[in-house]
Amino acid sequence: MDTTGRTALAAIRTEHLTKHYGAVAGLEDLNLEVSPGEVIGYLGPNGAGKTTTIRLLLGLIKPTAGRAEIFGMDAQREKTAVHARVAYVPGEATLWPSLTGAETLHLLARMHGETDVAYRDLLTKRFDFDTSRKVRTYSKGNRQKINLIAALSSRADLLIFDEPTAGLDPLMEQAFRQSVLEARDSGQTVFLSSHVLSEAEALCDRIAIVRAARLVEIGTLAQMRRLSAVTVEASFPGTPPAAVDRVPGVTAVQIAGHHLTCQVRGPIDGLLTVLAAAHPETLLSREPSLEELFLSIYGEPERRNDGPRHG
Amino acid sequence: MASTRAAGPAASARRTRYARPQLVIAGFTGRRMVRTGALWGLVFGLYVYDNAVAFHTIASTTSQRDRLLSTMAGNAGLKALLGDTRRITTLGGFTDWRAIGIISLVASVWGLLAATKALRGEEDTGRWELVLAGQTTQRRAAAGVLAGLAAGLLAMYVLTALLTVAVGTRPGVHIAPGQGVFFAVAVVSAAAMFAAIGAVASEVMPTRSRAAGLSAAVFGGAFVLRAVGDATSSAHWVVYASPLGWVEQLRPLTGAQPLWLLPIAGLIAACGVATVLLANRDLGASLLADADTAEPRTALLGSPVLFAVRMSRAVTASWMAAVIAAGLLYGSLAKSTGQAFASSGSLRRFTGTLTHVAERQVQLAGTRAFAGIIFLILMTLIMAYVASAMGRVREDEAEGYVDNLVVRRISRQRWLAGRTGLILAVLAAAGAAGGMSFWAAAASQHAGLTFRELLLAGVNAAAPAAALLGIGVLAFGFVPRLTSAVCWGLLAWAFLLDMLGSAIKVNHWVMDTSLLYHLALAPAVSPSWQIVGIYVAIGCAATLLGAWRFTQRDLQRS
Repeated sequence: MDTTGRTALAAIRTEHLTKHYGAVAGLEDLNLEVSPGEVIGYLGPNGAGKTTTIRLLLGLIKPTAGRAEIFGMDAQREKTAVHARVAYVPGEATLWPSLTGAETLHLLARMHGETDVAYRDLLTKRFDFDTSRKVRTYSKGNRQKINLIAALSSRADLLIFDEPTAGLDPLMEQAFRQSVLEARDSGQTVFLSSHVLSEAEALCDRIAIVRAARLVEIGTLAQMRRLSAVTVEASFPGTPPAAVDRVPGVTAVQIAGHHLTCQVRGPIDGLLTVLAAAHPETLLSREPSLEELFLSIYGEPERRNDGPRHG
Repeated sequence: MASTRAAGPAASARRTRYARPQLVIAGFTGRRMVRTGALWGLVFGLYVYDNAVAFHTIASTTSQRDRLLSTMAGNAGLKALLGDTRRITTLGGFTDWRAIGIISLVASVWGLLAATKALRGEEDTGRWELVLAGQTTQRRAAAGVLAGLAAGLLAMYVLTALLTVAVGTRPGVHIAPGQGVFFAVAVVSAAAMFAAIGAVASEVMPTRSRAAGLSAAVFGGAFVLRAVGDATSSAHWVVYASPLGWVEQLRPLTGAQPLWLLPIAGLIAACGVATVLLANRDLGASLLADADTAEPRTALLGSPVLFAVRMSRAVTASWMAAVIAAGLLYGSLAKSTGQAFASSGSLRRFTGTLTHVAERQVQLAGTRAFAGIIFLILMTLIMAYVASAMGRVREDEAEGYVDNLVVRRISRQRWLAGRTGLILAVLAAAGAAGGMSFWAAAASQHAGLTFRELLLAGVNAAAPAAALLGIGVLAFGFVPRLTSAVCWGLLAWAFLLDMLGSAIKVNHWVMDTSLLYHLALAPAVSPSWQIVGIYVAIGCAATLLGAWRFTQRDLQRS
């Protein structure tokens, strides 16, 4: 039991969740569990299945197979009860052009059933949002601010964001990050689908990566880094050792003049032995950024039917 | 520090270049307009054929027909409905009156809806922004849309002209090819004028619905002027102030008056130039700008039903105003028309050729028979409201507005029940309002119709719309992308069968598929509450089935 007396069920649990659009797989056999209070990043290229996953979690579309639960409630059969605990920000929401920003916020709050008015006022200031204008006059970024303010001020137990910062300027992205961190601190769960890798890197406790409708990687950033290649850069007084590319686990060797760059996965001692024999002047190793991890995963041949790699 | 930049793929030596990119908009708009324009041209041609057949079947002998048509020629109510007559005892005069009277109205509505959709509608969706980012300017783009509309009108003209000329070659018809061609000009000129008016309205008003509303108001005004001018000898001159009156004056089959093409061409040219000139504005702006800011008004935002009321109140008010105006206009003519009906057995039979339904049911002469025809028009108006409203329900899903609501505590059932209930309430109110307004105007003339019978006739008139609503919800549940097509298709089918069924022997199994066929034409005859009950039962069953399916299926964005 948590401090509010509720059973600490998984915020999100999916079992073999699958969605096919005719012959096209929108999502394939997703098994995912997100704990209450966790911030999870859900990454993938266009068409990988991110929005399909979200629409399944919200019960907007029906799964071809499998099931999804939100706080122990079936996402299909108990939609209204699920929605009472969820707030959703789509990548591009269709808002009513004739309403003002204030009217839209009021409408969305009434439809959700509850809102923290004081927090809504705070968010309105934080996002520097003019609520008196009609929606049709807003830029894409300002329309997105309405969705963000409505969702965050609902204080819902689960916040689902689908590309939430599309159209926001860097200052507003900072405001968004601050708001997500506040949500996490207050115990809310956040499901963040994003293309902005730095955003996911800064905010998320765990990262899940989907590719071609399948979950291929899930874990903390640290766990993913441990499983991934380390980048090594070295400079030499003479020619860098050519034997480096024969060391087990070493890939992507690039030699430019006196400089050598390579990646090594697994034990690094073999590589160090070869490098040390050539008397390096400088030696630098670093863990991959999320962007490098993401690109390395998408550079790999497609993995099928062997499940996600857990960090 | 030197910087390097990865070289992209070398530019291909063989780049595809497209000629005249500024014509793309005209081509794209034209492609859509030609399809619908040709379809309506086909319908208009069929209607001309129906008139040619009806002329010969309207009475047993030539002398009976002449007497009947002469009586009609002096009837104020029929003049207000279909226009003034000339040489009505000839097939040309009969077709001029009956076909132009109805076709010009349908063509005008098509024109204004097509223009506002192609101009302000595209801007509302945001696609216009993409278009203007191409090799064009706002004025050129607007001119391109006008050219596309012209292509649609041309398609309508070609089909109408071909079919009219073909009908003219049939034995006993005697419509010369030149007359047939000019008849098509008259039909298309109505569509062109209101397309041009719709185009200007799209530059003047900030949203498509308001542009369509302004164009519809102009259309309504033009119709009232034409109807009043034709029905009253003292104010006949007002016909010449109405664009629909100009079309009437063309008289393509009874001594063509092509000079009336001058004001028509002038209006089209003026509106076309005004559209292109006004198009040079900020994207999203309009001549009559709506306020960009406003104090929040939170009334009618508390529930999905109230919100639907708020979002649809302007459109609903327009429909109700049209119903009430029609009731008042024709109610005021009920007594005089009824007297003519009562004095002419032939005229009573004519009602049978005006609508097939009436053919079977008009047994009472006079005012009630005339009122029965008007309530048939009221039924069509209410069904058109239902088709339009169900189209908006589907649009709300396709454009993602529904997502916004059902991801909150609003269940799909609750949302759909609210929307369906609202449409049902409006159609019931429209039926009652039509009956009451007809009664109010008829009572002022001491026409002898009771409040109760006209109120019940109004309720009776709403029954096919209730069935159409159910079928619309059924389509929305099972084939959402076809919702609008199913609703408008059923309405058009019923209308077409009712018109064609008067002159052509149509198998009763086919007639049974018409939503208008079975309904008693109250107040000409007493409403059959059993039939009304069957309509309502069909509507309820279809609604429940469609609503159940809606809760089971995926939400489908366009």
